[in-house]
Amino acid sequence: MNQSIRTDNALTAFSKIIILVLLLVAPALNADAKWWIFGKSDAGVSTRYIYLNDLSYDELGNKVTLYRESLPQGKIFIRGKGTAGKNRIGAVQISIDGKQSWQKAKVTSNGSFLYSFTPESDRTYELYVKVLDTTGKSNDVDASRKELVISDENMQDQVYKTLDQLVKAYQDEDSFAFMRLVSDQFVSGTEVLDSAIRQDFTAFDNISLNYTLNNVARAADGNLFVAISYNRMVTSSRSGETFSDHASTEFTFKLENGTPKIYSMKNPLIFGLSDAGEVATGTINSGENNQVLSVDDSGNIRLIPLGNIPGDGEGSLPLPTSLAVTNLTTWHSISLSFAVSPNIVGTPDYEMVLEEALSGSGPWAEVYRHVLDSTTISALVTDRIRFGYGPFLYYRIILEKVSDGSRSLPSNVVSVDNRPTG
Amino acid sequence: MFYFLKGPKRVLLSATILTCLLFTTSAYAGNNLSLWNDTSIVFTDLSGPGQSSSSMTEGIRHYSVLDLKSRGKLDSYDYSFGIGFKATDDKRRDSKKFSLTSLSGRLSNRVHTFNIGDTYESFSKYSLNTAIKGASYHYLNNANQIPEITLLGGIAYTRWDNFWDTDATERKLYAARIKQDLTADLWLAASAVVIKDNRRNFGSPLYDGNTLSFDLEYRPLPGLTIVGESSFSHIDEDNLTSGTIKHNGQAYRLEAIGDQNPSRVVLEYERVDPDYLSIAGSATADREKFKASWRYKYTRRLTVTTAFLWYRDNLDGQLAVRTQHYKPEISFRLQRMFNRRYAVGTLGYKMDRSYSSAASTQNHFINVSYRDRFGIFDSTTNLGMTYYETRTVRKNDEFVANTSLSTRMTKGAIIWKPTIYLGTWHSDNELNDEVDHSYEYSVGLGCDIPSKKITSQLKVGKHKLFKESADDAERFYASLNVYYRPRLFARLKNSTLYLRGLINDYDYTTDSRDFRENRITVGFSVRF
Repeated sequence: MNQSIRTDNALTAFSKIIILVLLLVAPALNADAKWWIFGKSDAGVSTRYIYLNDLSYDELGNKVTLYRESLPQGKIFIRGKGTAGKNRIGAVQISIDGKQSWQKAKVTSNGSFLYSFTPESDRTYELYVKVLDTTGKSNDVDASRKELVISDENMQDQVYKTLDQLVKAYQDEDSFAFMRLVSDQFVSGTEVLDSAIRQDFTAFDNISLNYTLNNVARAADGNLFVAISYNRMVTSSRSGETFSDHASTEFTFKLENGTPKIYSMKNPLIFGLSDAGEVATGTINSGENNQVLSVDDSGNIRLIPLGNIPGDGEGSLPLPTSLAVTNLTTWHSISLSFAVSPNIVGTPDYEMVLEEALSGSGPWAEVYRHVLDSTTISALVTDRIRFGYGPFLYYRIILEKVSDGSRSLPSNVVSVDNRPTG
Repeated sequence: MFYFLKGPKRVLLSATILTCLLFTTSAYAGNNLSLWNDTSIVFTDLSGPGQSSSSMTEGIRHYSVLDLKSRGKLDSYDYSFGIGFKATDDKRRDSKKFSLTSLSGRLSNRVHTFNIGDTYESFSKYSLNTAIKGASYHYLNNANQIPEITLLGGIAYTRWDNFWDTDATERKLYAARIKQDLTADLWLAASAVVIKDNRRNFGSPLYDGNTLSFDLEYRPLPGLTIVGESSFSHIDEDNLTSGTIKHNGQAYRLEAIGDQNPSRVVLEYERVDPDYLSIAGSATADREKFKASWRYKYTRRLTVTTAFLWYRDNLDGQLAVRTQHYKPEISFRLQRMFNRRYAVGTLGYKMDRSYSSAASTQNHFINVSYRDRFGIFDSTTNLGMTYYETRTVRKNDEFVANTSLSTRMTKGAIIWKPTIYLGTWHSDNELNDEVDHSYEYSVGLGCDIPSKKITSQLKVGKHKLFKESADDAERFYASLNVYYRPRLFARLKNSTLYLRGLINDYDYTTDSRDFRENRITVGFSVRF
């Protein structure tokens, strides 16, 4: 039965996906939309691949900036492979001055070629690659055009520039400017981050964010690892309260056309906190358990210890507060009340969990669980209360989200006198 | 040496510093040495009964960073070396008064590359995407068929002072990757990452295990790239509350990227088991995902982007309910609108829908922007409408609008750059029956004197937040930034004296929350 329901759900979900995809690609059905162009290459002479210092030519934009400090031996290496159908590759020529002059590349018998030159700083090179077969036919030379600039700035300067622009866009609450500095390959998905920062902009007002760079490390493929310390202050647009925190965090950046763009982020997040469980990929290995900002499902802000940040895919639940004992009968039944965001009371996805302990620091045991249909627990009798485990018992409330099993932080702890009466 | 450290830490740190000293000596022997120093003194005055809310530290504080880099050649090898320090007495800018921020050395002849100190290698999405303090070796020779090999080992600390001062979880990490080009268009790679945690830090779990990953890239047609990865993790989690939990799971993904004008199409499918754990890589456990995006340059002026993302959890039925997420979006970007040379308009719509049998959310985001130049004035206007609805939890509409106007005028030796900004935000919370809104306006004036190497920017503005059920807040702000590159520094690249002033005055309905921040920063940045 369960299996068939699951299959039905999957089918429904699948059909919805198909419909949505069809709607989204509908404009492509226009005869002018040449989306099927892939693979329609000239059957004659072409290049199978070209690399510019180990960077794939196809994935570079028209304008490329490379940093002198990243050049092996201070040189630019252009290597690739040409094909000519049944013919052989006769020669490969490279122009670095906009086709004004051509230089011969070294070519092997299988069409692989290599050319290198030592570039000057702050000069723009206009690159073209011409592949000729033995009959003199050539590839589409204009399609190989790249503008190349060699910058003397170091990677650290570039990281500063990008982070400054990200922080400014975030403080200005400008999602367009912000997302321009996020890689298309952002690990958690650009759509997820875009939604999360828009929800940040709804939750925060008067964002003030400052950072200092701790460390930049570069991988062989050009990716960058960046560690920072930050301090920030925000006003909650829901409650009007002001919150501030400071901690360290880590990013990785991908170099795209000379600009470092965000590739992944770890907790504690400085961007996209509203969906931290989806946006962050892990939590930094910090030696300090700082109090950091967290935004719950309702857009409320709170400070929580770094070690309590929800893990991947978990939501951030509202914190139950003001737990108090409202009544303790002679039969030692207990009544309690607490406070929580009224928006979630009555929601079937939330349950309240009451935990009991013999000391204020635990260990805690669950003694009561119920759908969060109110913020009171009336005349509860537990084994320990009934038999006078005393002298004191301690209670706290935790909220649990049924759909994903995530839990809130515990409420304040209350104690009751459990000594036998009479 | 470093008697306060034990075992591999002592060896690692000593080796790193000795290597760096060796390179530094070599640098003095005539190779390229560069230094960057930025030092500033910050005067902060906080006043008002609510000053504890400020994120600034009161008083006079210093902040200084120093980076030393060296590059050169040793026979056929290129080498580079870098070391960086940071010093501050402002705990909110850094918890340490003095810290070693970076330390690395690299030696390469394009075939063999050795790295020591700060080491970062990104193998593949699932296997490795984090930096370590350790060492790596990379072999790559395009002239033969021997596979590309990378080996690395070290400790995944965030900071260098984790070695001798602030305790963090000691996460030892060893990794290897082998990558082979099978044909000109196809490569395969295998990566192994071993992790062993040693010291628990503020109750965090300890991990012990390994991840084995295989990835490939295939280019069957010009413009079409297919990327795939499959990964297996076997990791034991030692948790204070639950004891030892075994995570044995698999993750895989397949991506096709078609990129050739006028289209860029990306199709992506991913499935990550609930028990798959990636400590050094990047993966969200319990996730099945499909994504399609298509960017199409319809004409030279019009670009249309559509995307669709779907994902769900509860893949093994281990949760009570399953949550499905749908995020479709479409946007249009039109250049030269109304046949105006500088006009650029964008229109975008995004939906964020998620639901399960217990909860339902749908958020809609609509944005319109228009950028143009009218005579000597540059103008940018943004309009945004957002609708949030989470069943029984949240239901509110938002409207955001802002516009800015700026220009640039040259009068004699001075370039003036005035700007005006106006913005508003309106929020209607239907569940709580509350309406909140805010306004912001500011004027700015930039003043550059290129002949005197001076650039400056003055900005004054006010932000008002009106709340129906809480304090109203008003913030007055003013900032002045002046940068001067004196002749004395003419031989030094990018060296600057600077002065920054900042006033933030917060005024709330409840007077006891009011506070004011006044800050002046004086500093210099030297690079040679």
